[in-house]
Amino acid sequence: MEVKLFFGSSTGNTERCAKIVHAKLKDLIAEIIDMRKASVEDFDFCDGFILGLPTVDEGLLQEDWRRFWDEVEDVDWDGKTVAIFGLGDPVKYGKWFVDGIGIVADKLTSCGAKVVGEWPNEGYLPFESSKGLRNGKFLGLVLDEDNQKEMSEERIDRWCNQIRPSFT
Amino acid sequence: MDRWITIAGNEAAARIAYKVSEVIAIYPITPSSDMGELCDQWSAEGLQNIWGTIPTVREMQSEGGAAGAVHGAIQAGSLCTTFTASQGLLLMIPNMFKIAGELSPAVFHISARTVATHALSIFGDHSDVMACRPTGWAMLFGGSPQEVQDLALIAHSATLKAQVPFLNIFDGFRTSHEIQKIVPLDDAEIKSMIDEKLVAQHRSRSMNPDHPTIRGTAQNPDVFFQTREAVNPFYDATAGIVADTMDQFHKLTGRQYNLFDYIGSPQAERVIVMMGSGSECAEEAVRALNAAGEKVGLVKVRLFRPFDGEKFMQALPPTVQSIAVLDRTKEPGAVGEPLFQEVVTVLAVHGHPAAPKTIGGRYGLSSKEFTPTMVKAVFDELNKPEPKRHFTVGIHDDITHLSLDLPEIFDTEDPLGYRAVFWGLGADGTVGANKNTIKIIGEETPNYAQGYFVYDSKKSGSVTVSHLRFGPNPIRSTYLIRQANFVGIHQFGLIFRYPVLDRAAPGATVLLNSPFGPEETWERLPRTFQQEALAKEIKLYVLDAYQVAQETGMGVRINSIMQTAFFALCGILPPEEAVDKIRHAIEKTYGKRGPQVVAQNFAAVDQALAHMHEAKLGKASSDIDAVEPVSASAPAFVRDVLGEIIALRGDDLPVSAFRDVGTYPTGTTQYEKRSISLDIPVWDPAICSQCGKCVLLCPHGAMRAKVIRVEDLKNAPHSFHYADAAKFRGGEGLAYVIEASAEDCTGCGLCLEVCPERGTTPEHAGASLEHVDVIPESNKENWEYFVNLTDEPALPETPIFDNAKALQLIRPLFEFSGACAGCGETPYLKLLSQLVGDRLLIANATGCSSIFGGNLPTTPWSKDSHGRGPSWNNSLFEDNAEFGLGMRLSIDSQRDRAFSIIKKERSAIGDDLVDQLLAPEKYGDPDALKARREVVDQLRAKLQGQSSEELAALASLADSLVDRSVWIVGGDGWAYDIGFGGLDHVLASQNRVRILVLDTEVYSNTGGQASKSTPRAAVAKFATAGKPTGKKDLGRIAMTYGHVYVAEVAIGADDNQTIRAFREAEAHNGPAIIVAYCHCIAHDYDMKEGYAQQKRAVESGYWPLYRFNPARAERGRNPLMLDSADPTIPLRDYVEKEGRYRVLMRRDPELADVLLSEAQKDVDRKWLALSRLAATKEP
Repeated sequence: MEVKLFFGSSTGNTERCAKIVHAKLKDLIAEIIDMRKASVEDFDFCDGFILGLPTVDEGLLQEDWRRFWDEVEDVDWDGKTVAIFGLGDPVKYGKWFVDGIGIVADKLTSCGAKVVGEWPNEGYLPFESSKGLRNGKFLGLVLDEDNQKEMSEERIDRWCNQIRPSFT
Repeated sequence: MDRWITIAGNEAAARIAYKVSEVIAIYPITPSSDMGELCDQWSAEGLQNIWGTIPTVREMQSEGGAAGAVHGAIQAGSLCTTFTASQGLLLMIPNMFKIAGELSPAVFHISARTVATHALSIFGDHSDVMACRPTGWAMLFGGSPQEVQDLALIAHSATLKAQVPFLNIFDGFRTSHEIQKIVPLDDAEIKSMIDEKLVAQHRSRSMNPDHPTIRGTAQNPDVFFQTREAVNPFYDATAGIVADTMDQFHKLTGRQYNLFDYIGSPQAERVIVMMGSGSECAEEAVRALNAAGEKVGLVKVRLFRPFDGEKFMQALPPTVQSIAVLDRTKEPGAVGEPLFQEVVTVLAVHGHPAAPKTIGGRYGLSSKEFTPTMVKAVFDELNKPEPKRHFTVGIHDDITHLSLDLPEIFDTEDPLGYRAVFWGLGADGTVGANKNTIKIIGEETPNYAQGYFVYDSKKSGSVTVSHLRFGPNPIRSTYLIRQANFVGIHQFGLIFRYPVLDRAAPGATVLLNSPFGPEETWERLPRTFQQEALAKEIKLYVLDAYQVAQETGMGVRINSIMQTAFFALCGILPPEEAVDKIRHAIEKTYGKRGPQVVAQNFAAVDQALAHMHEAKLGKASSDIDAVEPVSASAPAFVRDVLGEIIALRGDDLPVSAFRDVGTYPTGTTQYEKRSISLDIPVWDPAICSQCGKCVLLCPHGAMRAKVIRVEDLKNAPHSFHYADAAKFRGGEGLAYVIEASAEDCTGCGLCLEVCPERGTTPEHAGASLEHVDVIPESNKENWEYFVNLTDEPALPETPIFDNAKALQLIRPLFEFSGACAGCGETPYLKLLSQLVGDRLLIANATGCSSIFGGNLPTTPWSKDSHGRGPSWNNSLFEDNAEFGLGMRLSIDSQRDRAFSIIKKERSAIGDDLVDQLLAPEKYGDPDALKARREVVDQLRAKLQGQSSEELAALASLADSLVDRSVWIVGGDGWAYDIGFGGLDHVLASQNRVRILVLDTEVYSNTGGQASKSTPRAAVAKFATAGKPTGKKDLGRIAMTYGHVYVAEVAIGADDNQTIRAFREAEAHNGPAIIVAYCHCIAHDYDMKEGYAQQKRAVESGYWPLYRFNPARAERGRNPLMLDSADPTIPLRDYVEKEGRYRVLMRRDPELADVLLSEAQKDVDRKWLALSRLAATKEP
């Protein structure tokens, strides 16, 4: 399976996490691509996607993902495997905590993709609501680099082990 | 005494017009808007006209529309009126020809205003009405509110008999807004002047299927001329009918008007002929000259058209030797101005035994002051053996030398009169309190009273100067007070910026709102003030009005406090009586707000006198300087011309200061440091997340950001601070600086509202506000230093400028406008200037954006370090889209020619260069733009010294080879209403024009009249009971074309979507339109909440965010992208926060419920339609 990792990062946090994910799944991931420089063509000829994105402002996609989002349907998602990890701040933006995961997961599912990497809502600081939650579970890995940075590596480690079979 | 009322000219006209009209169609335009608004208000209140019915009042989409509606109503048999001025009147001209041609009775009331030429002016002169001379309308001129009222009734009466329509004309602002004490007319009096038989005749001539006729036929050369001449008997009779009507009016009221009224010595040798408010001043001057033994006189022209030559000759004294005719208009190229031409012709036709020498002059254009001194100058000119045949008076013309020199000041003020001048800041209640004072003195004492108000042009922090006169004799002083007995200074800060004592007479009483008390205040005054105070031996009183206001729970409302103090000092009324009357007025004005507000006002009034103290004058030893209007480092033109205007000395500038005739440099607001806010922005680098939102969303451009190499900050001032730019990728080790210009800040507080980072308290954020007593020097130093740092970001990679974080690093070319604090329009303009400012032409419709964008003396549009920046023009209101299209057509035509020459001259220019020049330009890519400029520079170098005609032409066209961007900008008044026809036509084209609609959902600039963008249930003028109809959906209409790029944006709700919409519009290969949500003070809530409201507007689904991009359809995709999420809150949660809805919810909850539930359905319907359109995968 041809797997690529795409991430968008404004402050460097998501980039940092993406590199850790890349390191953990190095044997699986063919390429790591910064969304700032990505185009629709980069998504072609690929069967598996690992997508990293922060949620910014009040539940909006980070700007590099936003830029891509107009063309998201130009990618053939049908039957592809997708895993998503998202960053958010439950304290300052608790009303929209990792909404981005939900936005992306729902969209790609509606385009025929299979979203893997469900993650429990455990250990996070209290937040008000999240579009990334479905039936009590997050649709992707959640990382809090603002308040629980020290827990990110371990969380990534567990999640990567969890999704590895889907991408082999 | 109980019959007197104090009102302004506009109200005087409206009162009569309303009573004798059945259908009133209107469109607002300064300074006439009050008339239409009053009629709308009275109609809503159920006030009846003389026939016991309530006139229908309808706002139209333009003045042309209003004239058309009036024409129709007249033809169907109603009695009609409308109110307008200036360009609005010009738009009515085609209908006026028809209405007169069809011999219809009608009266239009005109607050005569300057027609825009090299500039727009809202002020008064006769250029608009003089453009109507050929229409065949009769023209009556009044010079005061009393005359306006009286002539209004005379006009409405005479028109029925004459079957000729009338213009009832009075000077814009000088009369329309002058408050005077007048004797009103009651219903019985008005009714007695309207002949019911004539009304019935009018009806019998109307369009009626029971007796059908046709009018408005097309005619041919055989009969048109004869038919046109058949109106002659009507015009021959008109002057006589007007004279008879004036006599009838005299029998009714005792006030006699004549077609021409002569004032002055019966043996006058020198006579002035004029009309309008200037003749009031002239009368005052003539009487004073007569008293001094001078044989002078004045003919006041009442009926200008038809001009009764015989009656004019009879009005002249038989002894006349010379005549000066004064016109308040200019007709370049004419032998003389209209009144002069009329008089000269009459004298030639009738022949006067003395063959008086007749000269013609211009005065008072655009409300330029016209004073008794100027009248004397004219009479002095007539005394000369060779007077100037053609002259101007009131200015200094050092180019063509037409102006008269003015003699020493000729003071004709009533010695028994009392004159008071008040300095205030816009919205501090000073003007309101003064209007109230005039009411008290005028209506409750035997005194006559006059009030006139002068404003500067800024929308926030503007200065107001009120001129009040009282006295036992009628007041004809239609000019500003020069020698005031009393000067009230309602804001301490004004003394540093304005010549507040200029108009104080020697020995005047000065009342100063000072926080420093009677002992300390003197030391706190600037030296110039001290010098003038001592020279004039003023009596100084101080009062800490803000302290009194605070202590009595009045907050910052100081007006009734200062008013009470005025009464105590002026002695017109005994203080107890004055206080009693003020309390009475408070009850009337504030009663509806509840007993607590009334009690607070009462307490403030009571405390006022206890806190007022006389302050002794000391020596002129202060080391405090007055503030320079512009910084000394400003360019010469800015210092010498604009600076003088800012310092209120513009009147003294000669004609030669304006040789560029209406063309001005850009980038001038930066020199005008207004310092209107003592709440200034403060940046906390430690908690700042460097997101750039405060920079993007600051309406004034006072917050800026740069990323600089640390090495380049070695010489930074002591208090200059920066952060590591680590929050930018690639920014570690670089310096990130945010700097705020406190002198330019308006204190709106939006930076704090939008900052996502909070510190220890809610008021402590990355960007916060701090209160200071005086703006610290360090702030000015830091700003100066910051501005001179390079604008090029030091980041290793050029960011993509499609988000706030990147955009904050682009220097805006729109800064420090005079818009209201917290304005919703300006951030979009600032954004536009960042994206394409250095290649931008703007066609700007009249409206708020043309006022804060182009109101002299300064403009916020500026230049980058290469000297490039937006080039801006305001044409008119209705033609703005066409104006912009014209710019685009011109540029394309120039480029076509340039490219064709390049192709032809391939060998001369060189293959390589030609290929580069002919390559398509890439839009939205700063690196590509830079490369393009370099290529064109190479061409320019190549063309140097080339002598062939073609290559020289190419050199002159070279600029256009870097493509320009044409943006057509305006508000909803333009886009939805008066300019919609042109807008539609431009949308239907294929040209690369971009349209930005700054949608405040109301006519903001003219005071809040409803537009077709006003939503259902919102209250606005002409929709005072809540707008019953929904908002026009301009976006969806534009989408139906298919080839137009359309976006709906709200920068406070989703700045990313807004920025991307602007970029996509810019790149679109065809017309593009962006409809932008703009919060506005007309929505009636604290503008600090503006962006929060934008978010609610979007969350409720009221304002869906979307982009319709035809380019996607070409790729087989649905062009419509709905960018906002499904609605999550009901409409009510959004609207209930705004006063424009709440006022209806309070006043009529039942009706509000009905309208709001309809409005919710509007939202649901629109959302459903859009989501369906956006849902399909294919176009």
